[in-house]
Amino acid sequence: MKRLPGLAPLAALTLALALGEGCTSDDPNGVGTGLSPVGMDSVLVPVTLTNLSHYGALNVTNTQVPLDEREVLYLGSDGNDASSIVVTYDFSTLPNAEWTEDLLAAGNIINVRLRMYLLTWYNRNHGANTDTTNLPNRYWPGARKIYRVFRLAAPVDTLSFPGAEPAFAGVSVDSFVATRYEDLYPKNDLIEIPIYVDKAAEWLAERGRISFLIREEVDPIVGTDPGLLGFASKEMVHGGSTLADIYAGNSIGPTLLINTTRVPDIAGVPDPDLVIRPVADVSTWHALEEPPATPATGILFRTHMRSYPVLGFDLSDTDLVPRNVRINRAELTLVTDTTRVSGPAQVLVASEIEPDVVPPGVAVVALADLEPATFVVGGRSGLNPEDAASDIIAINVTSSVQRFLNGAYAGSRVFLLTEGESFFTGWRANPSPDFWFRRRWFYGTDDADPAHRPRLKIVYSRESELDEVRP
Amino acid sequence: MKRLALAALLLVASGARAQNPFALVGPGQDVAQGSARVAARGGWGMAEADTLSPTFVNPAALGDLHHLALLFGGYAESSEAAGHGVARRSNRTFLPEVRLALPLRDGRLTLHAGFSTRRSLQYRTQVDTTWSQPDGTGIAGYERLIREGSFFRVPLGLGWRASSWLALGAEVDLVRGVAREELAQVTADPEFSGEPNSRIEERVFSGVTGTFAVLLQPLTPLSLGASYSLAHDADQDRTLSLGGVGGWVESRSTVHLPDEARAGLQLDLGESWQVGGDAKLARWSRFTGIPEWEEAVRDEWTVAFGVERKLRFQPMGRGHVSPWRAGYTWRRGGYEVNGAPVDERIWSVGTGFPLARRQGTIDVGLSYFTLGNEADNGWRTRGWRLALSVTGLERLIF
Repeated sequence: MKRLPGLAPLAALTLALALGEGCTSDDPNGVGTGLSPVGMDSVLVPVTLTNLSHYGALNVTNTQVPLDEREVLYLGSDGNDASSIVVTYDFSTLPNAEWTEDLLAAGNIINVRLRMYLLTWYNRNHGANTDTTNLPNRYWPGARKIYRVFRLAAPVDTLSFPGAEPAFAGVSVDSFVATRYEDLYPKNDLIEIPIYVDKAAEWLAERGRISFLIREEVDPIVGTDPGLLGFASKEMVHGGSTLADIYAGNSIGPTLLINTTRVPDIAGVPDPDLVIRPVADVSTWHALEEPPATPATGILFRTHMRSYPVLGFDLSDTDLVPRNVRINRAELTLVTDTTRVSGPAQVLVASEIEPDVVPPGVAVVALADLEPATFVVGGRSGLNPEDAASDIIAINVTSSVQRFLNGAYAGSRVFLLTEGESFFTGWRANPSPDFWFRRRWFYGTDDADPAHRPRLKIVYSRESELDEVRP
Repeated sequence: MKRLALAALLLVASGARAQNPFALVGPGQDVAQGSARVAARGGWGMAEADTLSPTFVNPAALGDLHHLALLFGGYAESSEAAGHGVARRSNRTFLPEVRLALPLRDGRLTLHAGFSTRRSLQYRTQVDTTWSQPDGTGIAGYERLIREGSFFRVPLGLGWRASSWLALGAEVDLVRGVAREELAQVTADPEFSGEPNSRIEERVFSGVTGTFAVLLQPLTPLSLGASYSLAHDADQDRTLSLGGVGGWVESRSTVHLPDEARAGLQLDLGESWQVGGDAKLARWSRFTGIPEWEEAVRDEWTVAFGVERKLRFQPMGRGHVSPWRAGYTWRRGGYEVNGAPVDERIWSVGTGFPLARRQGTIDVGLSYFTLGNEADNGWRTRGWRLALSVTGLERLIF
């Protein structure tokens, strides 16, 4: 091969130059500003849309977790929502090897209590009893309660709820009056209703299934406070996060405790109570405010008994929002009616959904059908009803509005507002929205104060040369 | 080794990322430089007919070559741009010139080709900005402009020694260019945190022109050279898009690029010294096709002259006498800034070193330059350039 002495240094030098080509410099700054005519026609133009082009209210059913399998039983009333508890015990399993017939005789029974486990969030300070300096001042369900227990004429099918309370006799088995929780129960998490002993002896003697209705009542003489409280059901599995104690050894759910004079000889358990656990329990939700058919007077967002609103805005007016603009910011804003909120902190997730899936007005849809129809846009978490900072909720929907204007979809899309459902990765779903009863009403489109109305605020920038191009 | 050279050649196609603020205007800044030898003596070379260190300035002069010749020319630059109370320093390397000439008939006819960067449009700015809102509030952020791109030529031509006093040259030049401008408006206001704007406009130019050249040597000490590149149309494929927006503008149109005339002379002062000068005129005022550029362009002319002590070899292989060069360039750029012309002045010196067995030279040149002035243009740039080129010769490579 012929030697090429002239090319060797050439190639080496060239490669070195090429590899070294580039620059180092001070960071870009204002040097040269104004020399280029490049600019945009309009920048950061604000527009606010307040007219809803689409409104829907979805009452969402969840066949995977029917009402009688929910972990929480709700008792009491709040606004136009009210629920009692129906609980069924099976006395046919008694007597047994430990609790023999003579032990169950009326003469041997000292007292009977119906124990319920209150979720600690409903305590004063949501369970932080040692701290009395920060009492909740909004949505406090009240300190004085009357709960009454009624035996029902026949066992009740829990699948009949939500629905009307079952008919009950005019005289209760007994009543429970609490003047203040902390007076009776320093920990506030156990509610025990005394039961007439002779009645309990009759139930034991009947040896069958008996259903009871536990309901909140109002006693104007005592001066009780209506309020909606949550108690553990027999399906409770989230006790560690919502109950002060899991109460191992007891059933979680409304439980009958029978204290007797003579007791069975159970190894390691001195002076045991007879514990009768429920075979069924359910919240009645005999009163549940329906979402309005129009958004004029208010917009309802609710979990446990899910009701999710759907909002759409008309972006077709090119005078308001021209085509082919860059959406710098778009916020869907809702203002809370603070007099109509209930329950713990919420998550609010906005998703895109086809209008056909969520027709105007009130509709019923299965939760399983929502998952494939939604596309998450954004949301807010930690919406504490007791925190004024959560009263005005603005969700960033910038990317969504940009997609709408880009014609990314064959049809239009509207916004569905939900809790953090399990299929929304990244948003809280434990416990699921089946657990807590949370309710938040937003002001409607006809509210007297324009600042209260739902709105879509858009800030866009424009290059008008793009106006005539696709889409 | 050929593969190494080829890889290097491909790499040089990337544009340099430095520049000065005047590259933001119209067709950008003239960065054509040729070899370091030419740069060191001020830029003249139209009348040069050296076959040991060919300059490639005048294609007609290449007809004299006896050997295959390769030229790689680049430079490093350190500059400071300033104006309106702010300054910015840049350091860069740049490789604008790669040329090859292949004798088809020894000393009579030569084929040549190459790659030559002619103009650069690279610069970026960033300034803090507040965009006012109708309610009187402002949204804070910053605005960043990035301009990048270049114009370059790929010449393919012939040089022909017609007679002892006349040489002719002709070439076809593929003219290519890219101009990309990205405006980014970023909102940094924590109360807003919106999506930034990015407006991107890209132009791709593609055209062909022709260049004709002549080299006259009517008298022994005097040489004259001239060339003329035709004005021509070039296709412009333009794309305008806005970040996040589904639609964009695409269009094809024609731009009219100017003709370019060069002329020069060289006078030998005995065996050791020579002086010369060139003048170049590019009639950018005739540019059409981009209204924003048309508002800024004007004719660009360059005057260059200098002196050179020639490289000489001692008899019997007893070494050589090193060359020395000095020169001056005055260029009035092809655009106006603040309604005033932009002048570039360059003072240069340099030398060179022969390769073994007279197979080429390595040349270096050091220049100090000024570009624009704050009083007239609002901005100015000052700096140093170190040019380096290698001209390699090879006999019978093919």
